[in-house]
Amino acid sequence: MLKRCGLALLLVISCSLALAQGSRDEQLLLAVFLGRFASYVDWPPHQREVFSIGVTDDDALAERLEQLYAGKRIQGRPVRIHRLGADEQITAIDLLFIASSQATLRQRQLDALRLQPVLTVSAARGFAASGGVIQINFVAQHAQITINHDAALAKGLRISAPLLAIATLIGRD
Amino acid sequence: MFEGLSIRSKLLALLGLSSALALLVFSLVALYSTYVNERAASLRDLHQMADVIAENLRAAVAFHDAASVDKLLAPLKANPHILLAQVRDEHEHLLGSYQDTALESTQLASLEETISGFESRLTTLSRLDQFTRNHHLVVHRIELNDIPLGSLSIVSDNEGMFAKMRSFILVETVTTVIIFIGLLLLSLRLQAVFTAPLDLLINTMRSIASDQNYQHRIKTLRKDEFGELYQGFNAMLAEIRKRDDALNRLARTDALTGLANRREVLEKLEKMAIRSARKQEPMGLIMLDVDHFKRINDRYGHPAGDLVLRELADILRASARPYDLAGRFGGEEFILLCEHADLATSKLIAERLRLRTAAHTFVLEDGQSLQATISLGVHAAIADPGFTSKLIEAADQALYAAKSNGRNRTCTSTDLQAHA
Repeated sequence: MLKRCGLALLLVISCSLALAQGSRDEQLLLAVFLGRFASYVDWPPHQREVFSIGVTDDDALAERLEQLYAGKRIQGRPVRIHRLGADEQITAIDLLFIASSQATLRQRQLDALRLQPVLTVSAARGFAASGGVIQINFVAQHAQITINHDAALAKGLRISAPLLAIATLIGRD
Repeated sequence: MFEGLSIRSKLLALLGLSSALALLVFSLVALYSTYVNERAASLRDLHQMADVIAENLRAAVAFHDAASVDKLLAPLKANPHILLAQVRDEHEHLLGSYQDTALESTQLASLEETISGFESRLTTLSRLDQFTRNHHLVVHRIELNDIPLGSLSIVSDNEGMFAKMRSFILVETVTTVIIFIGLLLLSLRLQAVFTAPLDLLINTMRSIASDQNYQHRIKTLRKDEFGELYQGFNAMLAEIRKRDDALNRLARTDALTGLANRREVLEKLEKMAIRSARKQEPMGLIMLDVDHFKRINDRYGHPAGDLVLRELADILRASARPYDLAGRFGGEEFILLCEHADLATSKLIAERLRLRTAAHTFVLEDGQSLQATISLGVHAAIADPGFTSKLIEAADQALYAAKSNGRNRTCTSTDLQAHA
């Protein structure tokens, strides 16, 4: 009996470790992909000298982004990572990753940025359908991208054809 | 080994072999050049295809979108020569692929091994290619903002290129054969440029060898080597003709007196006898001999005797009619053949000879002078060809009679009959 319990414990620990490893890999991919999204999106002209990425409610991801893009450039500009709280006022950023698990909170942030030229990205289910620009989900470390093209256009963002070609496109409605 | 062949055949063989060799070399060079060009073109086409596909794949690779990769590779099915296409991410994990249904597992394993070896070299190069006997492949690095995202490998069979090569070989072979036949026909015409002058020379030579006519000449306006050959041949013929005439003359002429020799006299006598018999006209023979010639030799020496003979020959020539033949018959004995002359005419000529000789003074080299006389025997008759010796015999007997009767006189064959 004790043996069985021990084996079950080992199995649980192994699965937990594997899941933790998978989660870390996905987080790294997400960090990489956020930078790559910027290569396929054109923002309206502005005077900012840095490329600002905001991350709400996910300090681990923010830290990963800081490590990944330290000393690197996106769209020819140095990268600055902003850690944001759920209710924090969001200004002067180019890309916002919304990690909040609460749909109402996400929707409030989306509504606040509805006409702002901010590329909103989230891994939450139904994010694109609720007005977010890019929804990214991982299946066996392969990305599935959903784009709300209407939302992007409303924000003055132009998403290039190659990204549109591989994504699932939906309208806001 | 070619001695038995005619020049015409040798020329044809030479021109044919030269043409064949030239065409063979040209064909091989063209074939190799086409192979190299087609190989480069196949690789270039595959690179172009890979460029386009890699560009389209960039976003899918950037976001590890395997489904999109497969979707973007699927149209390769339209190209029957594409065996395999694989897309790998930056960690060389397979992201998506296209595989021809006819590709066997062993082939697939071999190709994947080759691709794997190539991808490890992509760290320094953005594109690689390889051409083997059965296939050619290209590997392209996929980048986003100069950051490697992964790689695209495309493998194509060589059938497309070999089909073009087969078509080229067929066209080239047919063209080569047509050109070779054309050159051979042209060679048939061209060889006449060399063999026709030789044929003319050979035919002329055969003609001369057959009829011994050394007066024949090759008429030519050529300025080339054949012209020189013809001129040399003509000059040689002229020289042969000249020597032939000289030899002929020597064979028929007496060296001391310049008169016809005994052989010539007998030949001409036979011909004159034939004419006499045909025309039933008499012909005359005058045999004459220097009286006491031995005494002249003994007293004045042989040079004096030779001088007497030479000057007597001159008198003989001067006294004979143009159509008579004077000859030295042997020693101090001469003969004069008188065509169309009866006995009276012949005797008249003989007497004229005798009187002129008797009246002639022979002056020797040392200034001494001497007189000499001749005895003559004359015979005239309608000749009987084949029996000319009888004519000579009759004249000789008359000569003997003239000698016997005191010399310096003329006796005829009828005189002998009268005495008999």
